[in-house]
Amino acid sequence: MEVPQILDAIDTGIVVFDRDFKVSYWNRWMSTHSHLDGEAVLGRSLFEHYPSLKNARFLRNCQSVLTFGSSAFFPQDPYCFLFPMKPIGLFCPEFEFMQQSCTIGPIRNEIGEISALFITVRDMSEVAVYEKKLIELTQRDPLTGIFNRRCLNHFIQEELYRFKRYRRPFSVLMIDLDHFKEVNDRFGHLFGDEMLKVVSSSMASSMRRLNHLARYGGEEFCCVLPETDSTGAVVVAEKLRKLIEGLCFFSDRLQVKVTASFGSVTVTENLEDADLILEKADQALYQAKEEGRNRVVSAR
Amino acid sequence: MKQVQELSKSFSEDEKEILQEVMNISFGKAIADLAEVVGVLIDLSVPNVTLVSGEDFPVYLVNKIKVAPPYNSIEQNFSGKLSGHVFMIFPEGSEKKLADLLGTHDEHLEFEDAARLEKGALIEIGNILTGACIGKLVEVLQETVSFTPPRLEMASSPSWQTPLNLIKKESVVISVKTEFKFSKDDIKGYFFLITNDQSIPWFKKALHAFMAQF
Repeated sequence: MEVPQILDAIDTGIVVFDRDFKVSYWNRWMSTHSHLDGEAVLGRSLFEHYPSLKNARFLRNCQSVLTFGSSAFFPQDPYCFLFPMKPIGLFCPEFEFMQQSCTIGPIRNEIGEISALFITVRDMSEVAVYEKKLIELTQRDPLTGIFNRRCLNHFIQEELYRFKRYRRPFSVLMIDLDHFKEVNDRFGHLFGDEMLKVVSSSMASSMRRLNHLARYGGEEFCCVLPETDSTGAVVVAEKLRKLIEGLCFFSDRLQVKVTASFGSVTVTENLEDADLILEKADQALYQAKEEGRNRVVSAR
Repeated sequence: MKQVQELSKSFSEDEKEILQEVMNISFGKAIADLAEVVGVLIDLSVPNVTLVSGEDFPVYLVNKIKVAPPYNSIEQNFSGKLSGHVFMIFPEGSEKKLADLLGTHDEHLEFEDAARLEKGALIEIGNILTGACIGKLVEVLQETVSFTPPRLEMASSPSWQTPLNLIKKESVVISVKTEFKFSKDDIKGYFFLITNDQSIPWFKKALHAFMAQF
């Protein structure tokens, strides 16, 4: 008598379904958040309303619970959600779907056989918002909003793994604003900071999402270009160089222009070390500075 | 220390043999079912069953792991009449191979998504291994247990404070170590089943009940 009341009152979704995925229980929380009442769901396949659940991972985990009598867990990180539902309350704008932590477990009959499975669903959107903010704090450069140096090292390691495993090419650009110290000295650090912000956001928005732009330090940036050979890297670098050259800044009605020098390096079989890659890119950048700045030089 | 000696002694040679036999049967069944669930053969070595005092266990654990840190470790608890902890070690880099194995790895994915998938692959495989080994063990002993979600620590040096803090110095730990190896890819690691002190009286009874069937 009390248990059904509790199951309808708790702040957790509960679904029960048999071995054929036919739903036999759908508590009030599920009705509220799915906008599907029990009548629309009971006796029907779980996949009828949620076809996205018919994927290898979900089926494999259900099979695991049925075979071993264990539980399967879908924590919000990394799975985000099982049931696509609209988020509610203050966290609506942050996510397209409610972030969930779900557990699948076995239900045994009177002779101990697993006859059904249950899923519990908990709304984790609030936690996910804070987690997202924390991740941003650790990955992003606070001034420009692009990735920080720590993240850059991770990107290079990731691309190196892909290169070693799949032999996919990738390139790295080292970018340095020319005469930036003079800009800071003449127009002040606030002006210099604004310039860094505009340059970085212009570069980031002009690139494909797959590329990773990071602030390397001061006025130096670094860009990891997955799936890009040396010719492609020069094309990207030239595009960015022209973009920066075309930017206009104003200080007390005085127009200020900025240019950048680029060092480009493409990973090869003899260059499979992150530090060496950055060193080569830095050497090419140094050469670009030596040859007169506002140019792209590829490492040999 | 006296209690340790008494409990160790209370496992007779026959009981230790039954314990080993039950583990062999359980893990053998787990191998067969794991292949069906995951879709690839996961080989589990013959389980190495040892009685260790809670005090000696940390040193024992370090000596048994032959993988250099950093590595990925997964910890999970189970509770019921048999309760304890599972502790798994996967070498660093195994997360990418596991994601490939499960078909969840996409080399074109962005960093955040790829990292999520790899984390998911480790959690999923760790949980399935725990479910298989513990699930089959309690099935053989005609019992059921509940599980906590797996806790994953990626690419870290050993920080086993959580599981080790739960083990009392004066307790006796039944440690079951097995090496697992995925046939399709070069992925191998260690699986430790660590029983709670309080489970031992029930465990002994269950072992005798198991033998009484034959």
